[in-house]
Amino acid sequence: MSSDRDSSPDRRARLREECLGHLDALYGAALRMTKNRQDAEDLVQETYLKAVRNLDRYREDAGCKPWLFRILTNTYIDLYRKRKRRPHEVEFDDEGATGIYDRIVLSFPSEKEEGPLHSPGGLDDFLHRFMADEVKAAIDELPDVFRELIVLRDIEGFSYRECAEMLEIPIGTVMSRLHRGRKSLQERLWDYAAEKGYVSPEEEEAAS
Amino acid sequence: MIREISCQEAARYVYGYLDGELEPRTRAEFLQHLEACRKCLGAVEFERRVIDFIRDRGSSESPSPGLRDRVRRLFEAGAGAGNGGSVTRER
Repeated sequence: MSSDRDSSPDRRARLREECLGHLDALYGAALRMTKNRQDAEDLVQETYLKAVRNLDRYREDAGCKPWLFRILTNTYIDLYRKRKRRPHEVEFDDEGATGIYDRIVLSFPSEKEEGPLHSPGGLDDFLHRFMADEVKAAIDELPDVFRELIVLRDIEGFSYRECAEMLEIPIGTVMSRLHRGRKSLQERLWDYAAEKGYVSPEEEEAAS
Repeated sequence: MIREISCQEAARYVYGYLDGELEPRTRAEFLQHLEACRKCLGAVEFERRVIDFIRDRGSSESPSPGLRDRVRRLFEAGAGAGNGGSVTRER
């Protein structure tokens, strides 16, 4: 009998604290996935309910966070995404997204000499024009399958393999969706910046 | 001897490199290319900054205080039911 199967009160108390330690991360991910605070809280609660019921089969060597996130992701897909699943995974208009590096280089010419990023008016300056809420809104606008990977990989830091297991898709699909999602997100931020006037008309002109 | 790769090929490895997911050999080829190519180095640095930025701005949300209490109670209720009562299988 391995100690993993031990259901002593000590183990349960320790696991409870370990699981609770991931509450904020789970909630943050749930909020980005569902885009709604109430749904996010329901999803997190459902996740913990399943975790509690399955605490005895949790294998500690696999890590608490991936285990909880796997339950969260499965529950999210079952409860939320399937509701609005299209019959086929459509080709998104983000297909050809190439990102905005070239535009940044063109619109902030000083970057060319200084090395791309550190010069005044460069990338940092561009990025710092955004408020956190605006970035979250841009993430929320991404198609589900891209948004999930931005959350799992870029925000939560899971490996490609872990993402593939959680979403039950091949690693190659993780890579291509992540690629398209990231490039698409960049373009959305750029468009948003242009709309809001964070990019001046001259900068926009230079980049086009 | 490390194989030389083109900018076009290097572009395909940028995210794999930043995510720490390249095979050692590919990683060596990629790094060798970056040493010689300022343009690709700039692109890598750019992508790294954007990803860091997304992580920084995209996280840090707090749930309502009530959620933590409700979740804690779930554990207490679960403990009362001994070995978890009905164990529903995850998929």
